[in-house]
Amino acid sequence: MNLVTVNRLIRNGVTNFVRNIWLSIAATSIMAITLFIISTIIVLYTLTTLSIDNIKDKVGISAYFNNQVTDLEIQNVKQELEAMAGVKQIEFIPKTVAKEKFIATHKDEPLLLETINEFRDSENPLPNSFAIKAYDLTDYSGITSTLKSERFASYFQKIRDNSKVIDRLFKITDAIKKLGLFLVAIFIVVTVMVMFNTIRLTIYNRRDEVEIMRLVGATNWYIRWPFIIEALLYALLASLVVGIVVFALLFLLSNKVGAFLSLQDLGGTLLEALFWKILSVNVLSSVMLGIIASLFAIRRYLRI
Amino acid sequence: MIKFDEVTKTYGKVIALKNVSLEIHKDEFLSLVGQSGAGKSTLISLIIGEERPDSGRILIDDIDVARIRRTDIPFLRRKIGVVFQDIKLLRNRTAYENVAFAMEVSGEKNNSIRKEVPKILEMVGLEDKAKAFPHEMSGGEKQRIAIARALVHKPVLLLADEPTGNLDSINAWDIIQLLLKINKNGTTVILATHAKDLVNSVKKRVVTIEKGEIVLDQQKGKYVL
Ligand SMILES: Nc1ncnc2c1ncn2[C@@H]1O[C@H](COP(=O)(O)OP(=O)(O)OP(=O)(O)O)[C@@H](O)[C@H]1O
Ligand SMILES: [Mg+2]
Repeated sequence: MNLVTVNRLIRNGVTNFVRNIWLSIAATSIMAITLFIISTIIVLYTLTTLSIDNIKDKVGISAYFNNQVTDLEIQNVKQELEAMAGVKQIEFIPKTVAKEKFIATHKDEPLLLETINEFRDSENPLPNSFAIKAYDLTDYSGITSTLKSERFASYFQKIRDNSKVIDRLFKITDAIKKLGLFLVAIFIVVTVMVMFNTIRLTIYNRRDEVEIMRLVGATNWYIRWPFIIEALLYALLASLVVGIVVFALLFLLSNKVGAFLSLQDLGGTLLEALFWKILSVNVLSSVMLGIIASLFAIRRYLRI
Repeated sequence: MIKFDEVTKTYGKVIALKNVSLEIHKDEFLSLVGQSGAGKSTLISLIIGEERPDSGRILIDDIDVARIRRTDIPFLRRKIGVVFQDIKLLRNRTAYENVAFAMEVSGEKNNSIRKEVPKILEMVGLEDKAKAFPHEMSGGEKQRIAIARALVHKPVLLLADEPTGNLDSINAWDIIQLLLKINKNGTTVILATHAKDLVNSVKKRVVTIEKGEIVLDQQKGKYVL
């Protein structure tokens, strides 16, 4: 196939697009809606995953000892817990360190500082504690229940486990994934159907031309290509429109979203990467849908 | 050049051609005559691979069109010019564009299209109608454009199916003269028609078919039915 032919095929495809401009716009729009849904899901999924990664390090169990627990007992408990499956690391935080940390975190609150400084070191009200990290998020609930079991309950005054937060985030991502896939599936079917019908109509409108092409010696692919190109135009145009919209939204919302999901680093590079990812997914999926729809229509209705 | 060998073609229960054997030589001018429904158009459709026979062989330069691969058909059609009974011009294209169309779809270069189309329009005597749309042309002019389109690939064979239908005798005669000129320039011509007087005055080979069968084959023949 030479350049002249390619040029003619593209011109034919554009003609197909323009002749039924309203139908073409409808097909492009439904494609754009589908792409927008896909894009939204990618954004939401990426952001929640990011924020999970971000707070994963902060997840852990804080186990606060009763005051009367002795150093030796603490040693033993530590050894015993370390032997547990799933426990990655146990850091002992003595009450002195706890006090320093307290002072550090509340350095702007003079009232609190005054209160804590009322106590002499021997009277330090902050307890000794363990900061426990697990290998895996799913290990936390097991560790927490062990800590609360009869064997250990007497040592601790309080167990704090913030892995639930992350659990909730996981559920959210999971829900996004499921709902997203469901929506995407429905819209993909609708999009293919709409494009299929639009191309079917173009084929119908050009039936005389197709017949004559055939009779004067056009190859089958020469006849088919314009209809595929028509579908590709829907795909690329929809990708372009959605690309612009997504770019604008990401740009406008980046600060708010970053703050909301406690992501410090929702910086330019990350957004840029996300944008390119969305754009390429959009282009790829729309082109695929376009080709599928047009090939089906051609197979079914183009009598050559 | 073309050889029909025991060709039968049916459409459902209708037998359009029955055991037709016919040889057409290079540079011949052959009139194919017969009443409406005799099978003239069917014979032409078979030559360009638009229809396939039920049995028999159709050889064009030793290639069996009855068994040609579908993907080869377009290339066969570029060697054969056809003027269709229903003309088949594109309504929304000018005379020039209709002729150029046949060259475009077979991948001809733009500058050779620009060179050839005016020449062919001149040959059929319609260079001044290049910009006219089909609805702006007379029946005879449309026929000429259809002939021009059929000639644009410089075919070795021209099949003209009832090119004088609906034309008055003077216009019809002009068309026949044009076909004779084309034949003289070295193109084999098959003319399917039931225009008696025209065929008789041409004085070339006449093949008569009746109900799908060849009943007469005369050199310098007459339309006798
Ligand atoms: N596509 C088709 N489907 C069914 N029957 C057909 C088809 N084409 C032709 N026939 C039948 O085959 C027979 C031969 O038709 P054909 O068109 O070859 O006749 P013809 O000699 O060209 O007639 P005319 O002079 O009217 O053009 C007729 O009986 C016609 O009804
Ligand atoms: Mg006919």
